Amino acid sequence: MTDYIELHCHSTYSLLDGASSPDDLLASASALAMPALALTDHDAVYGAIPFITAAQAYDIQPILGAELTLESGHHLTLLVEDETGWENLCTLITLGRMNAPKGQSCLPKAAFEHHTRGLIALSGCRKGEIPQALKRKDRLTADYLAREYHQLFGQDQFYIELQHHLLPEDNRLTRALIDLAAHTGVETVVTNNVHYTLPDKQRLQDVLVSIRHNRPLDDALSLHRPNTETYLKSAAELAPLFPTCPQGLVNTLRIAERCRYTPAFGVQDLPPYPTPEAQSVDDYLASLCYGAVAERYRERTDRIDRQLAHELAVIATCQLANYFLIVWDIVQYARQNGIRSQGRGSAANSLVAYLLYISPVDPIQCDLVFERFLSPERAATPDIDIDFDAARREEVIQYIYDRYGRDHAAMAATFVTYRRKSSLRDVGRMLGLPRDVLDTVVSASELFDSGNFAIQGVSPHTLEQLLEIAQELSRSPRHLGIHNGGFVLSGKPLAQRLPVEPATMPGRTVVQWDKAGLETAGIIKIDILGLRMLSALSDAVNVVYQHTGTWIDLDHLTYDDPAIYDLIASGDTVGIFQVESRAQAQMLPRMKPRHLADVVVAISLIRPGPIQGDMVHPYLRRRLGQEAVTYYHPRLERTLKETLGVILFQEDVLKVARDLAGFTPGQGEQLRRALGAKDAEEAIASFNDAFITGAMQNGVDAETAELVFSKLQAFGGYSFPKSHAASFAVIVYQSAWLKCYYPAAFLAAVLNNQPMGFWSPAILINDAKRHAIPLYPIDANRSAAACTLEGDGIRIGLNYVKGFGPETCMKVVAVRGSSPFRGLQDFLLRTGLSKRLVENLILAGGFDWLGSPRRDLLWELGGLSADPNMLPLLTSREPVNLPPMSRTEVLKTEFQLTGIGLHEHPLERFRRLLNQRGILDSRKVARATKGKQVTVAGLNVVHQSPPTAKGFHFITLEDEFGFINVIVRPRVYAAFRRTIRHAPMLLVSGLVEREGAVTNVLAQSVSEFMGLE
Amino acid sequence: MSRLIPLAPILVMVSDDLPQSFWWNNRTYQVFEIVNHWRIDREWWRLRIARDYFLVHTTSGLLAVLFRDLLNNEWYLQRLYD
Repeated sequence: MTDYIELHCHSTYSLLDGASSPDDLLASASALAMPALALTDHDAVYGAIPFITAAQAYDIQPILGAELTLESGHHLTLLVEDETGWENLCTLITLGRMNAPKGQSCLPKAAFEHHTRGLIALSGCRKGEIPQALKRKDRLTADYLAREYHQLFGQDQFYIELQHHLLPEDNRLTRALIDLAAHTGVETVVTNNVHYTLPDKQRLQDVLVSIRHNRPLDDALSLHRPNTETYLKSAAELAPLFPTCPQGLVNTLRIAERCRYTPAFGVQDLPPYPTPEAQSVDDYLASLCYGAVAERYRERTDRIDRQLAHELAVIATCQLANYFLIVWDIVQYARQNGIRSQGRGSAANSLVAYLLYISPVDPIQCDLVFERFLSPERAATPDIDIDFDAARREEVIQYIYDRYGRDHAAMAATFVTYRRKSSLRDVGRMLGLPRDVLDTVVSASELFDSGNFAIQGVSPHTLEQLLEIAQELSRSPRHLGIHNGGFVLSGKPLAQRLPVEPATMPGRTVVQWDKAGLETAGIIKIDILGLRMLSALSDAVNVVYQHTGTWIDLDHLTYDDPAIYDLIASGDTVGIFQVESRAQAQMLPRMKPRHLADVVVAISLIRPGPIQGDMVHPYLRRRLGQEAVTYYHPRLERTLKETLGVILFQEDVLKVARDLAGFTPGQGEQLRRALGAKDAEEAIASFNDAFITGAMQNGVDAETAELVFSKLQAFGGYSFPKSHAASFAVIVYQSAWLKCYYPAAFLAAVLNNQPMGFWSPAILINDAKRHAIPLYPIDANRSAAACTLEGDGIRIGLNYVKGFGPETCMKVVAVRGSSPFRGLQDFLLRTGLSKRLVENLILAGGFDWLGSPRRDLLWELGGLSADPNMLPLLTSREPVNLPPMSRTEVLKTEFQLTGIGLHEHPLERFRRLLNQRGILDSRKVARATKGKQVTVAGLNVVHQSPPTAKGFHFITLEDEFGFINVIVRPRVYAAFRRTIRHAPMLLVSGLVEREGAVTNVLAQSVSEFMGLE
Repeated sequence: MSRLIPLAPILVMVSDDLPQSFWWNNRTYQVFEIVNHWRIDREWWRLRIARDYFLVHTTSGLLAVLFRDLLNNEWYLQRLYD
């Protein structure tokens, strides 16, 4: 047993200050046989959850606390004794954080008034108020402060903190503190203000401090600690430093004995939903659901009634009716305000979620299983994730803040952590390496593992230090971010459960735990996510309504229109949600989906899991009747019948593990997570043993068990749960429906919500040309801020001109009003835009209506003044004979300034010559006989080499008629790598391959296509 | 009055890593009391400095600043106060 417990300890969650992780600190504490360890990060409990969980593994008592920064800049150490203390600590941290800019804290001393119970206060490091007074030899103030804190926190709740780091003034300061304690009747306690585990970590701490102050090491000497003494020390190391005060060490044990509190995990405390007429939440939820059956179903059946009654009973048992009502309320707000939304993830397994319009998926029709979302056996409360129209998501976020109050709602945090390259860059910068040398270091970082290397301009010693420290820094949190959309709500003020602080974005606040921390603590999070396709669907519906008066109710499509499935099955899917990628467009013509359930499978097939697991081709062959449906073992028939014997959905892993090896759902989930995790070889090996043993106990032979486990292992990567795929399939259908019946409106909406999807706006535009959608160029007098419908076509918006952000576009449209611009001078004077922006608009074709060549317009612009009070510049009024821009120049500059090309496809200009030389276009390739030697040309629009492709590369060429798929074997890629990576247009020779309706060219040689003379 | 001493290694007798006496300028100085002890260890990225400093009273009434270089384990006399 140790005679000392460290009560003042900073981890890497003292961002850019602490140099050791909670886990490393606990490992060191364990090596020193410390039975307990406190975590006192600066103004934060960021690391509390990883600290508590790791402490269990080391069998060490975790003591929670923090070092607070007061308004005066002084520090004070607080330790949590009980639940009230935790609430008070969270409240104090919140008050300090909310009183300062992001990343800082500034706690008024008055805040302690009602928030000291359950807390033990230590007087702090040398930056504490009392040590500071003693350092300036102001004994009187120190005396007053000691009594003040003693009175504030109470008898036995305040200690004078003694630290000795072998600094010149430490002997004197320690003596003064001990004298003060004796004089005021306050007890002392020894701490070491730990910032790392071992002395050699001081290097990293120096670097962190330099990064925090953005001052290279050479310029930050005054900020660095003078020595390496703030490591985790033993009683034997500390006792000689306090020879006259052994009680200071003993008191660490006494305090630790009192600080045994950790927050209970899994306690839910949501705001109570205000039900009408004081109904119970269970009754109100039931009434809403039964009331919605008639809206959602043509006919109320026994099956619906049975399922609904079952779900409501489970929800009541799990006490989650209030949670459902809160989510319903958010969705209601969105629906009432015309904000598209829909749930994703496992919530789609629930009929209640469907009836409440949380999910668009009818779980009965899609044969989804409610227990995968919620079951009384599973302790964890399921998260509900909802996608909202991305453009209007902020309205929903602010509604939640308003509805529940900022004291009861905040968003989850994220910790932005160092990766290999970012740590190299930051450490290198602090070591004073020039930017160009750093670029070289970072770009060569992948070679470092090989050992032998040198970088010009960096001494071997510096390079060694750089690599070592960057390695130590990697995976440490750098700063706090905001989760994509995770909301945490609480019934009692949130700041009492966990601290809240301001986010960078105005109007947002974040809790101090990230998604993983909240999940471990079992705190419900509602994900309010933004999905641009939902914005595009909304925009398209609105545009159609404005132009035709027809209101499309996308939510009531019946998913049975053959024309929609024809479109999807054709692979002509550019712009359609989830099925537009090159891989999907190749697979869909083989798969030929005819129902929504097929779409669910389609979007699940092209995922890393099924691809790595080699499930795609067997599934397609079985679906087409080209091979028999077989199962690895008869026990798996029930599980995999729906997916024709292949492992397709995320939950299939759990089901296979259950049916073959008798895994519980919990074990299956752990297996699934391990299979998808990096560095989980050990865990997977132990699951392998359990799987084989379990399977053999079920009468499965070892060989089959090994085979199935290897399939699960191969499947390990990311895959969709079926319910999630079902939710997305709805958006696939809706977007396909719009593309099929309102292609121009749909395209305009997609163009207005970039970036999204697989293809760039240029490819979307080329696709529109192939579908004969009229496209009208940017026009200073006709273009709106965004792309709009004009007749049957699309007028490109001002937002496509480089440099024209939303404000500029709105300004042009506003000043134009109903009085078109009369010319360049008029435009310049009325809009007040810079000449650079007007130049861009000229070169984008925005003034072609003036009838002058673009170069002449640029000349004219040069002579104009934007100030109405100034005379035009003295330029000659004589006409100048400027050579007009060539067609190539016009197209090139237009593309550079808009990212799209409205005119002829670049290949069109060469088509006649290409034909003469026997170079095939995309239509002819599609008809060429299998095995034929061909040469093709096209724009190099997509180049992919997914990790699952074993070194194969996939290129998509585009010409004026469509796409050409090119497959490049690793050997061929190695020979033509540079051309493939950099050439904008390619000429490819190879053999035609065909599978069903899908044609590929298997490349033999590749060269850059520069045009033909 | 204090004066800086040109740095050159000196002979120091130690016990438990603490100086007991030192030999400088052809005579021995007995340490009467260690008044203060501090450590610096910094600037590792260029020329690391790591020293254990001692402010000592000698029996002859001098106040001296000694340090042990932690990198080469040599002792030095840095400063003398009359």
